[in-house]
Amino acid sequence: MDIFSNLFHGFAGILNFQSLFFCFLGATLGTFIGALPGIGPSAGCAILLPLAFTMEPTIALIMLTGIFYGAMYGGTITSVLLNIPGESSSVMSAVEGFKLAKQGRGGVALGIAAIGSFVAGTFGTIALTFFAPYLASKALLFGPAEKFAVIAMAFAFVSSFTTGSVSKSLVALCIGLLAATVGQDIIIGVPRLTFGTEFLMDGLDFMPFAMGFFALAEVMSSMENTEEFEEISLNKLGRIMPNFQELKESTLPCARGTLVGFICGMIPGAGATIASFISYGVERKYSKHPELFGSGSMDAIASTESANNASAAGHMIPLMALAIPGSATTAILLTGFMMFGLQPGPQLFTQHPDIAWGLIASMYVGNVMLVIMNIIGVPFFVWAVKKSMPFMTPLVVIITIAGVYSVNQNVRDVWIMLMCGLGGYLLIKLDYPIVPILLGLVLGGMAENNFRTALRIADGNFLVFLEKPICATFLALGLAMMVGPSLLKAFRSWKQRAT
Amino acid sequence: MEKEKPDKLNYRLSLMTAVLMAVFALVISIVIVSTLELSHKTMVLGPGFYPLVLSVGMLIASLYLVYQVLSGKSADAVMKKAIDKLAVGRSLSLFALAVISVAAMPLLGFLGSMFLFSFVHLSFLEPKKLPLHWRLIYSVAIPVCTYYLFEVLTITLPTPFWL
Repeated sequence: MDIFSNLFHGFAGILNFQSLFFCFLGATLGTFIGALPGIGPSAGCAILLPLAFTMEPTIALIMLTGIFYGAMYGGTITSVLLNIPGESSSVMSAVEGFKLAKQGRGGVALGIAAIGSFVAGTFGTIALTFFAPYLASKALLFGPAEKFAVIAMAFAFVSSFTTGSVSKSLVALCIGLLAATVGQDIIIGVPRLTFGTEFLMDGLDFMPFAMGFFALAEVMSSMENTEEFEEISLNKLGRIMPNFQELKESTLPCARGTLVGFICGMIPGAGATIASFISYGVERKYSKHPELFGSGSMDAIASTESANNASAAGHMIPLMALAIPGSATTAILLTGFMMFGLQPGPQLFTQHPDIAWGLIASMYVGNVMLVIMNIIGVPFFVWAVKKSMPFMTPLVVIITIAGVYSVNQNVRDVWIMLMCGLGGYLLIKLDYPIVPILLGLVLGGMAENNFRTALRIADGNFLVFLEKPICATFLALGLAMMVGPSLLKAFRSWKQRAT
Repeated sequence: MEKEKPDKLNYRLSLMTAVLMAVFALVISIVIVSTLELSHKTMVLGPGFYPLVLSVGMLIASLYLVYQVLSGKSADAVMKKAIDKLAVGRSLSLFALAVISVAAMPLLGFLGSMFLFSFVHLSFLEPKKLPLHWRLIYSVAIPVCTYYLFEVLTITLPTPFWL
């Protein structure tokens, strides 16, 4: 009952022109960013973070979150019509959707994708409504040891999911965590790794890092892609609204995709891309028409698009309840919270219920806006993407430079951002994942604080992390995730040799 | 277009990066040990303990990566896509252009340097060449719109030193 009254107050708080306008703006920008190849929601949120800082916290967070889930809708448009996935999570939609568009069923594919995304996004938001406050209330019982174990588990999950090589992920994670230790020690106050410089005393600013690693590095990487794309004329799009039979046939794929996506979303590191790939595999197995996979399957579109949207809502649960971001975009959202002096986790629901519930309420409203926008606004988004592609690179770089400068009104931050951009680009080329660096930088301070406090309480007894059952479970899960696949591989090859 | 099969250059670059990471972790470990306390009387752990754990962890992970590259047992340890020099050159040119534009900011201000950035980018780095008038319009419009957007938010972007 409490949840319903809180949600009601959340709706009451956002049903005003300003909130609805910024929710709409976030959803529109998200759709556009999702449709545009080369710029992802993480880059979009990073670029707009300095602008969001000038707004009221609830409004800013509504807009940034709108970009996050809006991007999941937008990726489909260019995948189906231009065969270019705006997002990595839309790759499977491009495989199937473009073939459907060639058969003259592109409009229905977009319609099914939009409706599936809406159903999945709304289901995810309902689950967020009930599950996040529950998880947050349980997290209130966590001490420093448990908090450290949860963060360590999140690091382990992210490291195992983000790339093929766990060693590379660990190196990247350590870079981020080490970067977070630069500056004054949080407990004793001694300067660490500052190399005698004064500007490092306050630690490394997150903004130039995030904008360098995500916005600039992403733009630099996208510069390499000069492929011409095949295009389906909007005249050949056909009707967008699916008929009753098509909707009925998409119900089960949509439900399966939603479930897979939501579960993947809640697991740190396993984001929308993994969700869409898994749901594609699951759907291929359970679909009534598996023979259509690869030559234009509506079931695949319904399932993968539902999965990536449900995963976005799923990501918000660990973020809001435990302050654990599972992806780059949620790490940037966490920074957004921190920038306004808000600490996600149990305190968010108790100390700032207006913001927590306002944000959740905005996700319901945003999903309604998005389904309408993605059904009637397809021609507009296709036109906008095609028109803006030639000048998108200078636009992103210029806004990034202006945004970084605006935070401290200092050109030094711009130089740091440029260096991070170059570093990020080189790491991407060398197949090092960027997400663990960012997560390490964002959560490093929290992890260290809890680690040292737990040990101080336990008089330096390191077994404190293993004596508490919850703590030991989290750490065991993290360890299993890190070494499990390698052990399994070794066991299989040993078994093969033995037979 | 990037070639799909990794070549010797990929192998060398992967090895070099892993070694560099290991050296970096080693240097950081030495700096921590020589400048920070590892234990503390009242706080149990000193300020250097946690960063040392991280730098040693990074050292172990990068050494393992070196081993993986050298032994050839893990395909993921070596970068997969072959380097397309032309494509990398285009990306690095964008970076160089951004560096030159930011360096020119004290002299030309935000508007001037970003005009320079946009125009050079649209003229030489963008694969699809736009007509000159469109390049000029975009090069003026993007910095001006950005400048005034931030002005509205009461943030003044850099102006030339001589103004």
